[in-house]
Amino acid sequence: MSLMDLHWSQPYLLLLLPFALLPWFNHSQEKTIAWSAFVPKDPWSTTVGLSLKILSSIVLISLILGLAGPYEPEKKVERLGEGAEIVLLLDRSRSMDDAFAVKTQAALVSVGKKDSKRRVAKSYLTEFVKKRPDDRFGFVLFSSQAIKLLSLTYSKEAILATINANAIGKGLKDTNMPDALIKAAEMFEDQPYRGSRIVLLVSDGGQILTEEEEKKIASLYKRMKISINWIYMSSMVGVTLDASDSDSYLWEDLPERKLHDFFNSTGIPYQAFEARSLKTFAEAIDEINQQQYQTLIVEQTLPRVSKHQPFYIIAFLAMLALTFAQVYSAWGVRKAHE
Amino acid sequence: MTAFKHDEFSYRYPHNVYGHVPGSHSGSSLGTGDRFAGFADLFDYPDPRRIDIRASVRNNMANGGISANDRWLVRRFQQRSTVTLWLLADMSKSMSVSNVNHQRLANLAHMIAHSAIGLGDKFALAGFDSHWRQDISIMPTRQRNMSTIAADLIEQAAPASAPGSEGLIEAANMISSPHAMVFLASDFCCDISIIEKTLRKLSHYTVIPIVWQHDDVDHLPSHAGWTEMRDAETGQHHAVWMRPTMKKRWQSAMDEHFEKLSTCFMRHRIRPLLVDGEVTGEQLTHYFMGMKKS
Amino acid sequence: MSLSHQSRMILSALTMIIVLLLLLAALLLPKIERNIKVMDILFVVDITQSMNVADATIDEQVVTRIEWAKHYTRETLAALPCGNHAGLAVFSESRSLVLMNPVEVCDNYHDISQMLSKVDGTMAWAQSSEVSKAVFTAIKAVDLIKPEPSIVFLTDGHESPPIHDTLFPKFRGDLGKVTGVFVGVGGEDLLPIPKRDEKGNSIGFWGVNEVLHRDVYLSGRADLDQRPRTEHLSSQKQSHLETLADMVGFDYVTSPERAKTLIKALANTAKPRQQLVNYDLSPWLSAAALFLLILVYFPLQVLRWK
Repeated sequence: MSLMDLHWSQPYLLLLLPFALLPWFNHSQEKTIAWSAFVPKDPWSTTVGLSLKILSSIVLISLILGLAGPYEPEKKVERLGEGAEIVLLLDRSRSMDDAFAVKTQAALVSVGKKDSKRRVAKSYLTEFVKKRPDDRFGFVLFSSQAIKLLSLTYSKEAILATINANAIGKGLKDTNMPDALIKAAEMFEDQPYRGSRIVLLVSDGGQILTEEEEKKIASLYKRMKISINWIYMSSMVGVTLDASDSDSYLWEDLPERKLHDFFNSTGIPYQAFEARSLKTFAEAIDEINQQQYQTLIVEQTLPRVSKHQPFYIIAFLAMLALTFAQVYSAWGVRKAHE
Repeated sequence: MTAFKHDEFSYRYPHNVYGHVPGSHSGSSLGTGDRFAGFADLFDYPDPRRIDIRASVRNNMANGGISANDRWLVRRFQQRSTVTLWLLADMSKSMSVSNVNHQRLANLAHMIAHSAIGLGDKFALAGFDSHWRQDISIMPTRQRNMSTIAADLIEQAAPASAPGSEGLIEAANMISSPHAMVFLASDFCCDISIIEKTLRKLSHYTVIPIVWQHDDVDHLPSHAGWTEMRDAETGQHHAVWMRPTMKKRWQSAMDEHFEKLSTCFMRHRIRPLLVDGEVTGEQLTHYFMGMKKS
Repeated sequence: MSLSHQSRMILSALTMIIVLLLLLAALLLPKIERNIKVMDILFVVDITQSMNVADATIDEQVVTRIEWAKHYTRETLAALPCGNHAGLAVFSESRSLVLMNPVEVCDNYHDISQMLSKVDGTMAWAQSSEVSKAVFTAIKAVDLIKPEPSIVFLTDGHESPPIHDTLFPKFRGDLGKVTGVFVGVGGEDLLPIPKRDEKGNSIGFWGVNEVLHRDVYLSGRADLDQRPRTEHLSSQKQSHLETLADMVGFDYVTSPERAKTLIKALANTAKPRQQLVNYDLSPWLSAAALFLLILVYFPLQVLRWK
């Protein structure tokens, strides 16, 4: 690491550098003597004088350089980690304000309470994010339209703040699933392929897609090698994504079932987790957490490293020599006066 | 204007002085005085007040009684005469290092002028540094207030324009009085050859070198460590790392110089007056008392 | 210089010993803990359609109000000292939607400014613009965020549908519990409001007959409101914002030119939070050392010769 590679947090202090020349012009410790013809010629003294002046300049230079705040700028390094790049696709529609996992229809009317689906999703997602040190997260918020809110970032603080913000207030209007899925996939656009890519969809409903939309989504996800994980938060106990014998006939044409079928049919890596209770939601999150550990190129930002210490050490050592010389010299003058 | 101490010293010119102006020194001319200088015939020196009858009678008797061609003898005396006191004042910059300074030089000038004029002698001043300083020079005079004027001249003198004391020879050339005592006030921190030349030039005058000694630290400021110095004369910077061997070399260079100086004085049979600090009248009186009368 | 050589030498030696001790301290003293005051700020950007009126200026260029608001927010973010926290919210219809809770501005500057760049009118979920209610919801939302941030509400104050002075919604929160600053956006002249479709394409201007000119609760009582029909035009509603600011106890700055204006207003109103940081004393110690050393080596003869 050479001096030239360093960055300076207070570069204007470098303007003080000419002060390092002061010792070469300083005569304030001089004694006026009657006749210099008595002063012996001494080459050794010339050497000592030169080194003392150089040492003084070194102290001044190192102090000024140290004060100018030298640092190695933050560096982006790539390392291999374990994890995935995950885009959280969170449903912000009004239905997510409903209570999660209640037994009866009547209990659905507890709007915006602690047990609302959005709150539950928030607390588990927070846990999930905290468990995954190497992952890169993005965030897409969707209701009647999707917004690519947070581009893929390593900042846990940013993603957690976004997840938390998402739990505040009431939901927006309705759900625009196809737009959301497309926008989520677009988050990976122009990104180098670093490792496993996941769109983690958290919603309580589906939507019937048009054929055109289906085609577009399927090709987009295939091209970008994105897998879909869907945490389906059903409002009522009993509704499943897969058809079964005990189904109510009312459920057959549920949009979520259609969406589930579509995902299954495209051949995109897809997994659905049906969260029916807090427990199953936690299990779903854990399962994703355990599955999604593949080798991933992690871009890590090494924080800036302050480099003033070596300068201060140099200044201190040179100063130590100078101080000894000065104290000794002052003692010599004192002796001459005795 | 500074108030000067009215210090005085008594001095005597060691040789006989020839001169018709009466003064206080033994003169070589005859006239009124208190020093008997033999007899003369009244015809040669028609001063009947000084007829020495006893001497005349004794002389006539010795020549065979009183006769018509008896001679009348008149006593004769040496006349007291005057000298000029010259002060050659070193105005170079080394004369203003700590305890040696122009103030003290001015005091000396005041004292010499005061003593000389008080005794009826003349006083003259010639300053010098690298050249003769015309602005600090006074031609021989008996003017009463000259002591103060001389002191002020020295004290308010402009600093030397160039380093060195070579002006000493030039200043010595200014001395034209037939009988003079020359006070040479300097720190003698210059080439011995200049002193030698000057002393040779002044050989028929009485020279009183006043050797002003600097403090030791003004010669050798430190015993150990890094020492930076500035020459008072040239303003040149010097710096040495002081250690015992350096101190020895330095000290021996100093000793050598002052030894050479005293040898030089000895050769000219001159006793220097060594002073540090103020020069007092007492010191000078002592000096003159010790001066061998010839 | 009147000091003797000896005292000069001793003085220098003593000064150099002090310098040496200062340097030693700079090297060895651990960082001390110190409280600094940090603010938490939630920027609420108005994204309603009136914000598309181009009557704001950045560097003498006329831009739309929303562009100005985003530009100003970004400037402020960049000007905020490290340690402060900032979050982002948008306002449309009658509510403020928090997009991101406050995060440390230096570490997350990139992420916040990225998010800020995505904020625009297309995010709006409805076409009305009920400023006062949005302020109330922002205050409510802020209540849920810990630590509670101050609000910076960037808006032109245009209420659509209009509300009549006598029918102003009541603020039910605690006055002064949540602090904040209104940043007024836009000029003083009434200008037509561009009309955009859902995708953000311009489709002309709002016509005089396309908007409500009366408070809906006033319908049928036209005698109470005889103002001209100008609600399809928009300017910065200064008096309205002042009333609103008074009601909720906020500060109000109108079209500030520099980020400092807002930061100063925030510093006056916001309740700062103490945050413990590691504070490095070594720059101060070594600066003192440098100063003393320059004194030691300063060629005083320069002054003497003058």
